Amino acid sequence: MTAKTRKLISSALRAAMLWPHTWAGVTLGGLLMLIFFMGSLAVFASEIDRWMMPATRVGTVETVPVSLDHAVLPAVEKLAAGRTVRDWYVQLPDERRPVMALQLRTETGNAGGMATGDGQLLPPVGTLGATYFFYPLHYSLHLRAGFIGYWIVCFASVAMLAGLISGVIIHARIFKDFFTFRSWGQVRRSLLDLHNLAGVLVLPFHLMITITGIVIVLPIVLPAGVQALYGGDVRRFYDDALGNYSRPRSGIAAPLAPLDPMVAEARRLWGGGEPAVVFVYNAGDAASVVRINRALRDRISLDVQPVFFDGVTGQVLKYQRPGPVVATHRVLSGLHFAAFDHWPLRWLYFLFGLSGCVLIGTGMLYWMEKRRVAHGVKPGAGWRSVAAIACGSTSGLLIATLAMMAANRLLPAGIPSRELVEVGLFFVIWIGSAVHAAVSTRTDPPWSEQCTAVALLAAACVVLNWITTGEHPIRAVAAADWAVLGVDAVLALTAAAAWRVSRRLARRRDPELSTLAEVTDHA
Amino acid sequence: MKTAGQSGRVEGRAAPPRLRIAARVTAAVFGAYGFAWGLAAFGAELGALAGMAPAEAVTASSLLALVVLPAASLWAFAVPRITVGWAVLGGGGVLLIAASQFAGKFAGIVGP
Repeated sequence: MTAKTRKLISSALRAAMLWPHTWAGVTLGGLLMLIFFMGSLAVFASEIDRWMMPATRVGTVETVPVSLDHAVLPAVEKLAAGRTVRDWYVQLPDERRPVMALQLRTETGNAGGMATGDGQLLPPVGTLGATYFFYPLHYSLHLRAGFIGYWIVCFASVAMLAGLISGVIIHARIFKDFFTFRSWGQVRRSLLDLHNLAGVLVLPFHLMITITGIVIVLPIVLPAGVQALYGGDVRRFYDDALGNYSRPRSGIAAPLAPLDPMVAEARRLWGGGEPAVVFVYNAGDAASVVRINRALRDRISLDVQPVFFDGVTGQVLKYQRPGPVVATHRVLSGLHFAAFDHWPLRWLYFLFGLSGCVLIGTGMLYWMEKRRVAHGVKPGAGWRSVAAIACGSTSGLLIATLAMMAANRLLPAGIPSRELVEVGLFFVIWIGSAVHAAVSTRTDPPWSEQCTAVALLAAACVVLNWITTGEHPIRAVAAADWAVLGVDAVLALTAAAAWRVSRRLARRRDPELSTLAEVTDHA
Repeated sequence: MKTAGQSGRVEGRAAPPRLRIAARVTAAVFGAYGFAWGLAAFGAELGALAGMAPAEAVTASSLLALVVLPAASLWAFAVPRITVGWAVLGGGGVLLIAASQFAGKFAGIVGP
């Protein structure tokens, strides 16, 4: 193996890979950190939602299936409040989200809300939560216009792939690293060991998650084939590939057929399974279409097996299974989504995602430590800006996230545009922590201060949840509210770990050149 | 295998380092993407000509292009002479796109 590796990977190739590996990491590390961190949070988006939306902690969902005609339609009418509804959809309750989420498009704007399984509308949640804030930040940076966010995230993801591949080439002694971690040595040496350890041990996951992330939006970011065979019409491609269906409004009013028989028919076509989302397009029109998606929790594939019905007659309009290549694409996408019901794997996705943060963060730190050797203890503006970005995208990002969660528990329910105030606070505090890092970086970024802030905020979140909702850990155990208990437990762990780190860093002396021995390693 | 690491000195004489780095970075970003674009477009046309359903051909060729993309990006840094890198990635991309256009016209003539 090693002899072959030596021939395949010459020292010149390894040297050539060093430059793109280093600079892709230094320039895109901060962005990749955001993507990996928010992606890790997104694994538990439903659980964080329960924590941030206390009104939706209504206990486990009833075993009786929700009736669309008797529970959902009245809720839609109440939300519409007399306006004419054009399209609407409902995400039905499931094990992790015991309430249903409704979205309406009316003639005078959109409306949304949550309701219990029997159709009782809940008061507005007043937050975007994890599902509508942290998760979209992960894949689109909330830059929707022209899919610009998708492009930026995918560009960084290709750089991540290139970084992983070049990292393997630079560092061909992969198997030795399973056993190499020298924490007792100098900071720089153990940083490199940690970087290599995270990179090597979790390499298959990092490769898989990065490539499948791009795969999901591939027709949007690499539309060459769509351009060639569909004249650039992505919608027509999706209609064809995923069996989607749409038709324009006719303008002739017509009543909606009962929905529950359609669900029964969809179940029959699927051969089992549960409905997850029901869409009604062109509501109240003779050309209305009902779409029923299947729940994903019993398989890997992201194929939602949509069944389309004529909204007036209730007859099936389209149910098309994807071809083998598109089915493969759905499985690859499903590997990224991890919507399947498997708690141990969910925790692994979360931890491996965070190990991606460790990989990126230690890479940036290693670069900083090494530059310090080259430039002395008072480095220049370039070093300081990387230091500020590294700090802002690690501890600063944690501070912003935790501050948003604390604000979620502190802001009064009645204030106007409450959810936007939360989001505004997230960004202001994030920018503030990056500025703080930029201003106070002398020989080191303000790690210790920011870690103290992380510890205090995380602890505050647990206490605030207790005070504002009365749900302390013991009550959560008694009520079997594992979502809230889990979020509280991770917050408490974060607080304890950040506190320990901040104390250790505060005790550490300023780095001296004598502790930073000359560059001896290959990277 | 001869790579950029060995020939840096030779190239250094030909072009200033800043320009050389810019040439490699742009080749890695735009050259590699153009090449992947050409591969996805040509592959889709070829698949359709071979009788695959259009959605299948588009998906298969795009997945293949996605695997090639990061490798092509890194190759732009490994190739000894960046002019060769640009010729292969940029020229190859243009050729593949031209070939896909031609295949599209051909399919239009013989197809349904």
